[in-house]
Amino acid sequence: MKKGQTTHIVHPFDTLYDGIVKQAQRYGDKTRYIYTENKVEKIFTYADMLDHVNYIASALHSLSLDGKFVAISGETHPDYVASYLAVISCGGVSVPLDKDISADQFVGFNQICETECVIYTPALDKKIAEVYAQLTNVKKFVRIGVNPALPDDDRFVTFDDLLALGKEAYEAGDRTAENYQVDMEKLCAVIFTSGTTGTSKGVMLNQRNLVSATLDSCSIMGCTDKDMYVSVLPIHHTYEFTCAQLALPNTGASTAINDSIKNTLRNFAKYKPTALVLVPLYVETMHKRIWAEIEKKGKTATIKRLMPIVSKLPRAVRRRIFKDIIGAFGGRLDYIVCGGAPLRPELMADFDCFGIKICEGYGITECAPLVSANPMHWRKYHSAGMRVPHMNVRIDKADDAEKTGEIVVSGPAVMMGYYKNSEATQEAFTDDGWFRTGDIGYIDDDDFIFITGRKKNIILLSNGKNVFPEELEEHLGVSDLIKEVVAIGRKKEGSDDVVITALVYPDYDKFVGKTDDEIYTAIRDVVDSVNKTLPTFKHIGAVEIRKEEFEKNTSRKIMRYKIK
Amino acid sequence: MFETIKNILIEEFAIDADMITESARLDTDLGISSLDLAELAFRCESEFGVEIKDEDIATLLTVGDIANYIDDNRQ
Repeated sequence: MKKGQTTHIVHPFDTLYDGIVKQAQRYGDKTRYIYTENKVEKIFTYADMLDHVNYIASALHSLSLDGKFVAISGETHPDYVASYLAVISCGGVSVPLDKDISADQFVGFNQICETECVIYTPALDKKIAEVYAQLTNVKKFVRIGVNPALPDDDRFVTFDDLLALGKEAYEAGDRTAENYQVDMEKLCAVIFTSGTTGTSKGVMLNQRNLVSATLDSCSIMGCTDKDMYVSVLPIHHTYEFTCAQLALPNTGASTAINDSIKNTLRNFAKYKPTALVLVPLYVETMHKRIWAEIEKKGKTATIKRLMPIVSKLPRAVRRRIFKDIIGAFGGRLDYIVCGGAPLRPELMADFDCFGIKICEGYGITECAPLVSANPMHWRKYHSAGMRVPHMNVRIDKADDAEKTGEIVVSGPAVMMGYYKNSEATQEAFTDDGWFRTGDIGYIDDDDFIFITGRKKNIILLSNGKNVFPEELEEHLGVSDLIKEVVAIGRKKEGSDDVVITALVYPDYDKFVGKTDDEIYTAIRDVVDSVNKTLPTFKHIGAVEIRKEEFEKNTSRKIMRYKIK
Repeated sequence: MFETIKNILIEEFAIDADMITESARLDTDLGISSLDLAELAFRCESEFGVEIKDEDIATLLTVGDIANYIDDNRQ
């Protein structure tokens, strides 16, 4: 019999609220989150989550905001997660927005969704102060966290005040969340993919999508209530939200929230995680730190000599041999779930040898996001793994002779469509209703999926983020020094790291008599000034100056596929 | 100050000393990822007693930018 996808025991639940109730019954006063606020470490239990969701839902009902679109933005915080779930639990639509998007994008996405409430954390204070006057449709701005300095506008309340209002209503008998009749097929979240408001698409998810993706995450990860996890990825991503914030609590695991990107490695050492959900950038960084430490101790040659021999020993023995390495991450790290972008196989082999398993998976926001994962007991390097239990994967080939084709997906986690964009929705599905991922690949005889390329222009970075080249080109195109520009992702030599590269055809009329170096410097300055307006992950790292215009088709569009 | 930052880059990230100049770009010239940069910011904070805010890390593009930031924010 052929081996299949791992299926660990999963605690079932019907709706997201049902999940929260059952988790509170199972785990009660157990820690769901450890987080730091104003340098004070705090605990948030499973019972707290149920109370918060009930109170927020009742508060939204009191304010006639139940059933409405609510934007949520900021750093990971228990109140963020509670708000997200509460909005959905009273029939509303959560719109999680990247905290790093520009003020214009923030306004644009809120306007597209006609949000009536914005819930935000301190990371958004500056942006909200800049844009709140433009958001005339918003009836309440709710600020999570301590020390709020709210703008002078009646629409602003603190999260604590909202919670107190909800608690009062709940204690007076309001049962908004409990009594809400869930329609699993109804829209409950809109998630904007990267890009400008013009190019971005709002992925529409319902509870059926989120529940099935959560149950699939639980079944492949096999987490338990003994597990400890450190949350480091941005929470507005479905990968972090579903696989970490929804799935792990269903197993009773505890989560320490990384309080700053600067403290990541120290928080691993402090909170001693048993499992991590990461993107390749983090695994690469951990790998680099391991070898830098080995180098500092002058043991590089010895370890490299030992590894081929040690890798044949049982895992428990390997973990004892490399206990100092595992110790740098707290000493208990058992496995890492890695997704968002492909991971170099060398890294997986090294971590395997040290006794830390890496399970690579594949997902897409439009599938809430999980499509496939490598089973823990049978992993293939380079592979995106096997489909998860609720999903079906097919390869649509142009003709049967081809080995590869577009990866198309069906199943209960596939989105409803793109918000207010029926044209894009239509393009996203095949005639028989399967979702087109835009990725090219094949499935081997053991049912493992391999991705070999992409149909879309998106630049996929090692931090799992997608960058839409059109957005960068739009920013750069504003400069009168640039005549044509194309942004691409170029792999660094000898590594899988992708550097966003701007290929620029300057307006040479502006550079008469200038040397190549002078032209490069001027264009580089333009790029740097654009970088300063963008979140770090979108920074254009390299610039290449072209002597000739880009090749264009008859409608004068640049033929991107010809660019190398 | 530049020398101290340079030493951190050599010690922590094993970067060749000759490549580290004030105008060297952290990402493309020195191969520093956003997470490395956060770690570098942490080391600089400990060394110089100046807090580098998470949201400001993205604005540091060159070694010189770090030195200037620390200079500007020193009390």
